[in-house]
Amino acid sequence: MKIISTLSKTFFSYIPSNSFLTKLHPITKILLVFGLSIIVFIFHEIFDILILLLFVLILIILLKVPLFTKAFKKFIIIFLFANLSIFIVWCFLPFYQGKGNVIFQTDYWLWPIRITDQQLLQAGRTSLRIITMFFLMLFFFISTSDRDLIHGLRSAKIPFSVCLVISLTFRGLSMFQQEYSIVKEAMMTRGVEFEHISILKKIKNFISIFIALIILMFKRTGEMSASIESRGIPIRSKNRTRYHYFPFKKKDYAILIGILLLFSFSLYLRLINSSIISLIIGIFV
Amino acid sequence: MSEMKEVKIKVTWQHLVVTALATGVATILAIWAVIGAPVAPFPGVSGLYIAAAIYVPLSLWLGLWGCLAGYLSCLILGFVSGFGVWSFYWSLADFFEGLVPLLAFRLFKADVDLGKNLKRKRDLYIILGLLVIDLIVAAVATAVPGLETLWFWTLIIAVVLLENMFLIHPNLSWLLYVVFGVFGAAIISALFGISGIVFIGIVPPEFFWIGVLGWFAGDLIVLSAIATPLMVSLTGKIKETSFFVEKWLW
Repeated sequence: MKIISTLSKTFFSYIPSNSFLTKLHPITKILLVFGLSIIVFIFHEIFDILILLLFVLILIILLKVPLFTKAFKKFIIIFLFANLSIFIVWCFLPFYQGKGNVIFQTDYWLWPIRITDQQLLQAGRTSLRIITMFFLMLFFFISTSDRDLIHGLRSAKIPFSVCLVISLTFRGLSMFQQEYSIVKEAMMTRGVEFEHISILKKIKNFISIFIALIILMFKRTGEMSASIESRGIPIRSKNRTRYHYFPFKKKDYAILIGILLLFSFSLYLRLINSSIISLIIGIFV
Repeated sequence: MSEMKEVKIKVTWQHLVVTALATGVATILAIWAVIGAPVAPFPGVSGLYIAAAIYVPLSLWLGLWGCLAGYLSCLILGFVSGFGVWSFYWSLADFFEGLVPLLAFRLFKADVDLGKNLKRKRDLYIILGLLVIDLIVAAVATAVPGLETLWFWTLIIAVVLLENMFLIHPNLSWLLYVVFGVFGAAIISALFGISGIVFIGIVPPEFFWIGVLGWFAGDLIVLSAIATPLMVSLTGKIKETSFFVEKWLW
């Protein structure tokens, strides 16, 4: 739970570093993450997906951040363990009878098991895709702060009101995490039990917390919107100036071109029904 | 004597701020739900999706802003769960979950205040509980082949329970809420959400109905057990404030 509380404090688990990747424009990072999460689904061969996963891991290493702390390790282990269930479903459950050559078969289990090579490949493919997307999101969250994201979006001429809503959403995440704990503790000091009670009582207590949270939410909305309106900030402001500038640099353009090229390359491989490995073998042999 | 001018209400900061903060609340609950009661092997799916109990009432109070809060909370959950760009598509499930009851209430021009003139509250809750159990059995009968007779009987029981509910409290709002706010919202969201996961290729199509069952049951329980009391106790008060959206956006 420590990692969840760490995440919720800023939501973005940003770790400052001097890496060139951290200094990239937030829009570039968003497009990198989205682009690669599409490419991972275009790649069909398991080795291609594995190469992409290695590439993402290298990106994370290049961030030069102390990633393998106790909290992060726990978070990654929980995710990998959850991902295991996807692998098991593709391999062992009887609803799915994959095609291909049978490599393992038994009728002496709770249900008959028949594992084929194609089934294993599909299981590996799906698991690797999800792991890649997970590490991509991890890359984004540890290399970008919520402030950078908002400044980046403003620089990309996203309307001010949209940026403010995004910013308030991230603030709201940490705010209501704390409000929830405060309300729950307040109820507990008044003698309300949350453990060792029947499920109906539990639901009743949670409804009381939710009512308090909703009322607090409306109260905060009133305060915040009054504060914004009192400053005379219009919803549609075209020529609003800003203090922080986040211009696109040459490296941002280079990475965007790289993503486009990789996207085209993955499409080409899919069209000719080939893979990176067979292409390399074709060149050298 | 000067003539009174009709004031045109448009989108204000209040609408945008409430959407942002509602997204915050719903996201926190969504992340807890997925960690606390996951449905294997479906990433981002929970057997007790408590966030739905917040954004479905919010969509009836705040109109499309509430639906948007549901969508954005699911979007953030999708990013955290590792769905990447696919979250934009997958999250539509939660948008529709809020939109279905909103559409029903606005099209039938029904009052969203479920607590108004409410009598025999206990009896209504008991019937709602029975209906939820019946619908979960119906969902199991749909997912498992060979249980067509059971499915037929659960349907008959559901109609009888709904009829009894209407006889106890002859109110269009209650009927609309139970049919579209609890059952309709849960089934539309489950069908769309799981088809998204299957479409991406995370789980095989053979698991479609199992996933739908998990999602549907999880949403059905929280919508009936948590969202209904919230609707009964808070709608009257929220209607008196300027936050309440009478139409779609204002």
